[in-house]
Amino acid sequence: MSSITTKDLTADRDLLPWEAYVPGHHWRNAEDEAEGAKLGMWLFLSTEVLLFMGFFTAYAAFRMKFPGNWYEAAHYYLDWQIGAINTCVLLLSSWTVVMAVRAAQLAKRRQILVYLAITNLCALFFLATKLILEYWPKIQKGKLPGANFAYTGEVQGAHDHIFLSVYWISTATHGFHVLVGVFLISWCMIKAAKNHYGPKHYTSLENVALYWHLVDVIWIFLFPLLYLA
Amino acid sequence: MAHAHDHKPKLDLDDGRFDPHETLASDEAHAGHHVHVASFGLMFWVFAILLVLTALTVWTSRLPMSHTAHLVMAIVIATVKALLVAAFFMHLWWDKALNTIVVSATLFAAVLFVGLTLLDVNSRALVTPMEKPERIAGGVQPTNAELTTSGAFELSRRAAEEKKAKGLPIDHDTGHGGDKPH
Repeated sequence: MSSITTKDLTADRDLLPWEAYVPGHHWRNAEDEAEGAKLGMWLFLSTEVLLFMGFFTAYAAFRMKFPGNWYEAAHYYLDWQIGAINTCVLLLSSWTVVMAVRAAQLAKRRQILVYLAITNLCALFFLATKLILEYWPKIQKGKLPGANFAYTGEVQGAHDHIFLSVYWISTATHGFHVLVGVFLISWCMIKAAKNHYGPKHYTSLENVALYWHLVDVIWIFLFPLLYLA
Repeated sequence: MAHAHDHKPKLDLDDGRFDPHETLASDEAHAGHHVHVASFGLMFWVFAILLVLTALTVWTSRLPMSHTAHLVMAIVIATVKALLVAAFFMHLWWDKALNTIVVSATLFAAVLFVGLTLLDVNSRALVTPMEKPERIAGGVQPTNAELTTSGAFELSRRAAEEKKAKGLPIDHDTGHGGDKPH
């Protein structure tokens, strides 16, 4: 009994890696393998939702305790225009990821690379905006979370430090997810460049896309709750 | 029991290439490998609607409404946006129902998580007077208005002030000292 590996089949020079892809031997076929991987990704995304729910719970509990101060602090410390631009940028990146998966389904290698490159540029723009325009000025003014909050200079209300604690922990965790996304998308770009994605096989690209959409969904909630409401 | 991998790959004489699916010479390998290719038009419209909803949420945030109304509007619009992303960008609309069931179960757990925590936080004040009988014994009867979250803080502040007047040590666990930063 001999089992066929991807390596055996790619030995044929005419065969691209995605064409030669053979699912793991414990899978009935490639479709089952892709579906199984996707279900696993959804289970992981569920844990991610619950992780961020912790921050949303803190938001809700403290907002309920200090409704007036909360609203004022949100409008005092945060610039809704930066948040709105970053929201549009993340929505654009979500759309380009959708188009990258579509390009893989249509075996258009160059399109996958172009769309993923735009996605990564959006992600880097988001992180740069966050660090340069939002985090750095706050660090300089000592508007740090919790006990590190400096009650010097302008202070808006008595519970600003609690609002900023929720702001920092939720946006920083989200920002970390964006950073992880940059690495994952770069990895997908390398695989796409090496012809690993095509109509018969694009599992990792599809699952990274799901991850990226979740990061977008989290921001869809963080933006209005922190910057606007 | 014959395994799929026992079959040798067949050479496709038409183009001289191996078809990896031919190596899985079982019916399952060919049965329904249907990949849904998203339509460009639909995905572009979803993206456009998401941008419009972003503009809408900014616009509603500037309307003269109560804090609660602003919060409700923000959550409603964000939920619509999240559903659009999940259904179309994340492909749940075309996926097997199992993935949607997983997400729904997660959202149910999330609602329990937030909802029960908020019930607890918002009803602490109903318990506080019972935990502090000396406040009632000292003549401070909580009114219905005080039996709210902010009322609990008011009671704590009043208790701290009374203790201060009597020269007793202040219980820092409950007394947030009103609106003064500490």
